[in-house]
Amino acid sequence: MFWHNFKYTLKIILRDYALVFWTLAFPLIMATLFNLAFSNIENGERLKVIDVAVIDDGEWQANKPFQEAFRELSREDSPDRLFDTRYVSREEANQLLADEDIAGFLQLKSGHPELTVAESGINATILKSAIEEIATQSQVIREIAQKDPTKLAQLGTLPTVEIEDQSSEHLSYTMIEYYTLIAMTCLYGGMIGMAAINQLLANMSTSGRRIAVSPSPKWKLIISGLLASYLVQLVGLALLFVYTITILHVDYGPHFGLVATLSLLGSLAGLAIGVAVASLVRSNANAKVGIIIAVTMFGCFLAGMMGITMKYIVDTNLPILNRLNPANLITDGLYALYYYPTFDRFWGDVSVLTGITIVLIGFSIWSLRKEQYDNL
Amino acid sequence: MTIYKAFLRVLSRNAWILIMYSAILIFFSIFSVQANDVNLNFEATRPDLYLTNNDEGSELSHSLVKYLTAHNNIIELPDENDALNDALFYRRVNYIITIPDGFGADFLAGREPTLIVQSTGDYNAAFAEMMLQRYLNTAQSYRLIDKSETELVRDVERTLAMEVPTELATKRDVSGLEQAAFYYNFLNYPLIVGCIFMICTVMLSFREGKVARRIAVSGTRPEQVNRVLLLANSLFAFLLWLVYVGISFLVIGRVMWSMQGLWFILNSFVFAFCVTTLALLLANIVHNRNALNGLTNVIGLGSSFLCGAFVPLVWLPETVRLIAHVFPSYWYIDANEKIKALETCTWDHVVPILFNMAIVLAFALVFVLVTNLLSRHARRRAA
Repeated sequence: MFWHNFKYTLKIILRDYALVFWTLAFPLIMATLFNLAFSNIENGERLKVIDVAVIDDGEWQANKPFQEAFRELSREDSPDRLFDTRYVSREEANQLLADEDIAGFLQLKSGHPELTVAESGINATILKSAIEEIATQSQVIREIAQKDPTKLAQLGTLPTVEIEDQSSEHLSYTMIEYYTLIAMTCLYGGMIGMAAINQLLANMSTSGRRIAVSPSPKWKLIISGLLASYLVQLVGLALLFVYTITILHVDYGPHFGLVATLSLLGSLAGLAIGVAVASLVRSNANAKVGIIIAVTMFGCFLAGMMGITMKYIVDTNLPILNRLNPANLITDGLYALYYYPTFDRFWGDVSVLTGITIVLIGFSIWSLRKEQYDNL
Repeated sequence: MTIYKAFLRVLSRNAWILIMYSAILIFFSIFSVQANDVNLNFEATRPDLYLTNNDEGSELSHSLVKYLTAHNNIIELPDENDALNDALFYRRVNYIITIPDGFGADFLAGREPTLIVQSTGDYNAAFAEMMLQRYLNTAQSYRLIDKSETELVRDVERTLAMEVPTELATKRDVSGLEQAAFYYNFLNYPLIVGCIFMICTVMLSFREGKVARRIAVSGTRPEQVNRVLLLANSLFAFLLWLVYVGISFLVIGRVMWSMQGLWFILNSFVFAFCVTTLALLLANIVHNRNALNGLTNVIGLGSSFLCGAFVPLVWLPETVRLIAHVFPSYWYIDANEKIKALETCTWDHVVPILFNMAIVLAFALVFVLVTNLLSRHARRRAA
């Protein structure tokens, strides 16, 4: 009876194309879209060489400090290159600015720099700051020359302040998108668990009614049905991992064993949600699917799927909400593995998720056990 | 009238979909881009910075903090490692600086003190580091001639207060236009999902089982039913577009009353028309409610991700941008970007926008032609 029900539950699940689409294919489609859209986003936020112009007139030719500084800042072989500088007339500069080919242009007037920029923004701010830096240094050199010219020679040999960068190497926030996707896949698995339970419930289907009056032990049917659902869930999860790792080259870090463990637990949590909704909610199948989709998507939204800022806002302002949100517990556990050198946070997430899963399964067992019908 | 009533009944039964996607649109357009007040003067970008000064007694460290505070947004955070690490990862701060105890004294004594920093590595962090370097370089130079800490701090602050006069070439309301472009780009998603899902659901309802049979035996001719449905669907799409334009006035405000605002509206109208024709085409192809749900999401999310509705077009990889050309969404969003940069409404400036709109209309024409071909084929088969 156990394997019989296992086999037929598998068949029922795999023949429900909508279910297969949402639980197996949709996460792959989303992963592809994330990869296409986000693969360049962090590069886009890095500082790039800025196109600028300088009005190449008599004043400019006469000002050696500015000429040298701009030559140095625009040197193609320099790793600290800031600008791609064009030396043009005022008319040309205006045209370049109007065509959005440059962020701004510099003109020296009576020895003082004047800047014209297309619009406020980071490029214009950096251009302004660099020009101010050049002007500042010129001023400092003038003052040293006035007060004590012998010190000028020491300018190039000053002791430096060491700036020690202790940032983590793992700062790619787009990883959160993939983590929420794993969370979504785990929790969408609830739909599969629900489908398996629904077919056993006498108030949901005719097969459920027949099973209710049959002498087969219910626990065997429930366990075999859930096992089949969990298997399909894991296939979906495995597909997502294989696809993201081999095709999209997503790096889940050095602790893949723990990533997989959390995903297995997450799938179990998804299954528990599905079973709980199926057994505790008295409504039709569509409404139950709606509840699972709503819970999953809202959970993923709070966990940062539609923008990582949301996860941070909830984590810092209403932490209890995310501590009870299975989608966030999965995402946060994976984030902790990726970003933190210690495992405290990861195991904390695992414990809460385990607790939620046990409570949901407990409620479901309690609900399924007392199921009795006088008639249907 | 009966058909209209049935149409409205189907619509109201599925209205929650429209409400949900509209809520997403409003939420993101309010929280993703915050428009500042109109400012025709240059405004410097201010990185988000978290600062810990463990060298309270030093004048120099105090002055460094003062300088950084004047040019950055100082973010208050709990002084705990996890809170700081999270803030950095989620980009609440771009740069974290810790000034160690004794920093000022070491600096003045000519030793090589260490500053501890953490950085997101983006342009804001790079700029914050430039400012830090600028202060330190200036202080190092003045250390050669200034005898006391007070003198040095005074000279550094005086020199760093020097500002380059900066003229802003644009007279556009840049941040307002940024927000408007974000809203109208994002609109791609709710408009596509709303139109396709609703129009296909309505058409399916009229084609399915008993309803289709009742229509077949009624006195109303099938052509008339189709005409009424076409009109009702178009009216629905028009009203949906109108509601979204109305919301844009509420959410974005002043910029929508400008010349660029009008262009945004016109562009979105052309796109809404194109989406309606696409929805009518799909209504001819899709005969299954379950498939409709998946298809709507794939088209809505796919075009939004690939064409720059969620992530700005300039940040998409070159190949993705190339692929995106085959979607009308790309031409619509690209036109929005051109409208955002529209300085004056001269012929030369508006031609590229009109060109994009013409391409969107061409897509619509293709959708209409294919729909007609399909329905003719279906009629022949039925006959």
